[in-house]
Amino acid sequence: MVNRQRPIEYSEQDQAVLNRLDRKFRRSLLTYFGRRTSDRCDLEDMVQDVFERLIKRGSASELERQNLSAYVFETASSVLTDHLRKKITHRAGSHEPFDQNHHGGEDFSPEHVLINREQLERTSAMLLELPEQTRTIFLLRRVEGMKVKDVAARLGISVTSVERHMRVAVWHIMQRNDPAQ
Amino acid sequence: MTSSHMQPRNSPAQIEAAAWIMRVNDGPLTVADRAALEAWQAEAPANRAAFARAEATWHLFDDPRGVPALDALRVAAYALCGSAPHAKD
Repeated sequence: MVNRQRPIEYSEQDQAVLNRLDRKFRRSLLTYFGRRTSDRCDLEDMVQDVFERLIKRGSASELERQNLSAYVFETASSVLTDHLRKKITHRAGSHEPFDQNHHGGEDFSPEHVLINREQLERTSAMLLELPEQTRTIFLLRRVEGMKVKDVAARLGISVTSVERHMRVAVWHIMQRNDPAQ
Repeated sequence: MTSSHMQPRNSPAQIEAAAWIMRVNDGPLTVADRAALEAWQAEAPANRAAFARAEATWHLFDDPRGVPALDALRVAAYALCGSAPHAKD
């Protein structure tokens, strides 16, 4: 789904910035994306995407003196969102069954990972039983790792309210995973 | 929130445990908080069990990779908080 051959001509200056970005951020971006998507084969493309977006905006070199790191990961977040969205619409459009063996990261299959995945799969279905806002808040806080106050700001609700939704979500999953209930 | 399983039933320990796991993960507990958590767990085996369950629930999401269903929910979540066009369904 991602175009692997991108014959983009960079100016000498851009190429130098690109090299510096690559040296400085490649590893942490791979980790960032690796933790957030199951597509091992797209990780490199996503990292590349981040660098290209930064270069295209022409602001990378000027930002190198400032808070470049924050800007890089903000860009990474939007690359990730685009990537996940594309994946969903692609799958919805083609009605292809999702091939876990192909997309799911062949190199990450010790037993505990499989068990965890199975549980997560079931738990994802449980999340669907929650009201949409509660589910969203849980995902942003727990899966995306946002801070409670950031979730509150993003959704325009109070911190107390976010905390309440979180308690409901956690409690719901606990209940549903409890064999005694 | 209309379904009956969303309402507190007979498991106050689980409700409290859910509240505790949030506090534990939202920032370092004060010494007093830590003592309160330990005291609460010592009060009843059900409390200790509930907290263990809350911890397991929390850590279930430590590594969210490789679960397409979860990826789909994440996209929907981003859509709802305004970072991306709504891509659900």
